Amino acid sequence: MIEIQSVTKNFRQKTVLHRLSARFEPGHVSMIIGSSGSGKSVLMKILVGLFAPDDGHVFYGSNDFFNLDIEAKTEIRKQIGMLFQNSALFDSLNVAQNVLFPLQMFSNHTARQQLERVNHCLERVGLAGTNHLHTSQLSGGMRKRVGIARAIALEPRYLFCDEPNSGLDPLTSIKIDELIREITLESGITTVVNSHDMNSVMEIGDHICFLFQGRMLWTGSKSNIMETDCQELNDFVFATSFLKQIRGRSKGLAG
Amino acid sequence: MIFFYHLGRYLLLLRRLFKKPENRLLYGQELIRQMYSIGVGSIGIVTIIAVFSGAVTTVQTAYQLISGWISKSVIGAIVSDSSLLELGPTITSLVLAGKIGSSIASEIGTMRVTEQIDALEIMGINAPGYLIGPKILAALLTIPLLIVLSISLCTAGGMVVGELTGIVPYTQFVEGARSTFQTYNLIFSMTKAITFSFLISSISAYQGYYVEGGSLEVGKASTMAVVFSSVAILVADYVLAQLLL
Repeated sequence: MIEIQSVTKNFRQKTVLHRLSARFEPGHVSMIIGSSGSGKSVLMKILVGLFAPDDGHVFYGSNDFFNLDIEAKTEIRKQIGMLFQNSALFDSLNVAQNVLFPLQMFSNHTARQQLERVNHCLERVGLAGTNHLHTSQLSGGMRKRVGIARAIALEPRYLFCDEPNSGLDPLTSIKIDELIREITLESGITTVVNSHDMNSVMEIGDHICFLFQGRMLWTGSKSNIMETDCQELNDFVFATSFLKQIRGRSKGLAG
Repeated sequence: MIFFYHLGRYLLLLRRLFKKPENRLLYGQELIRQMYSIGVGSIGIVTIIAVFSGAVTTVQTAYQLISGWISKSVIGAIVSDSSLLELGPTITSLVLAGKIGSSIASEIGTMRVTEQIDALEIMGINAPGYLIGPKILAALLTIPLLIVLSISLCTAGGMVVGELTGIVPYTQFVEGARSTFQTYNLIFSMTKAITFSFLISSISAYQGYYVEGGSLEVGKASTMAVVFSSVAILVADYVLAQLLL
């Protein structure tokens, strides 16, 4: 479980996050949604420890992350897997070496066991047999999959995904979403996804947090997101005229 | 004021290098990779620069020694001492600042803008220790060797050109070189080599590590790495000469 309490972040006198509080449960996919500039990425960077909040707390279980010493932080970081928006694969390594890297760095397993784990992770994301491909030979969807394989290599307790569908076609997006959901459920990990893709939200979001101008205006499940009175959230969800029409019709039918 | 900001941030970055490696084997592999890249990868350019510097120094020294009263062996003394004191360490380091400095800054800078450094940090890896530490250590181990090579080739280049053009016979060149050789000059030269190696690698790494933006900023960082490394080499060259000679 991850919990944030009254997290505030300022950049040069400008407050980009205003006293945010939320709780992300294990075995659930929690989505942080909001338009560009709403503070999603800053919140994600605070959650993974890249930025320190100016005020407030981030708890991993019972551990207040930013009040831990470096060794304790490192121990928690070993339990974190992250899929980056652009995958952030290491250019100088091939597919297998990318997945192997965290294992080599931290696990005490033999080389053979590590290789078995690499093959298992690649198989899990549907990339069996691609071990020797260089990262420049991969499509966008494959890069995301390798990113997921690397993120789950150390069997993390927490998985963070930053815009996992950006730059992908709808079909590949759905496959990546399904993969994130399956991994979350089968391992019971705490997954937090940062996205502005409403398809993705409706597909895999168990718990949704809506950010608007650095404030958390709404939290809830995907089942009640359609019925909210939060104007900013409605504007975000039904951004296109097509979706507005659909909503108007469904309200008309309900009426 | 901005100078002190960068100096402070540079020192804080260096402090982060002195943490226990997460995995010595991987750090060792990275060190060997960097030693190959920095050391072996620079032999060609160092060879060309050194041989021609020595050759030109011989020709120009002979041109300035117009008096018949001065022994031609003086040319050997001047070329060998110049190679040892200045041409070898300083000119080679300035060239390496261009080659290695830009490479280090652009490599680390690209990793920064493509979030690869964030990926390392989230994994719990000390990114400066893993990315910068091996580069600085590789530079400290290989650049002094390159400079020894440069000094040797610079002197040899001057000697061969002197012989081939008839400016100074081989025997007189060697006689002059031997007559002025002092072990202290070699120590001074190696002190410069180690200092310049550290400056090139650490300043370039600093420029790359704190890149913000995209490919344009990586290019700028690469340029800044070369400029600041070169200026630092020249300033350090003067300071060391003032202190040690």
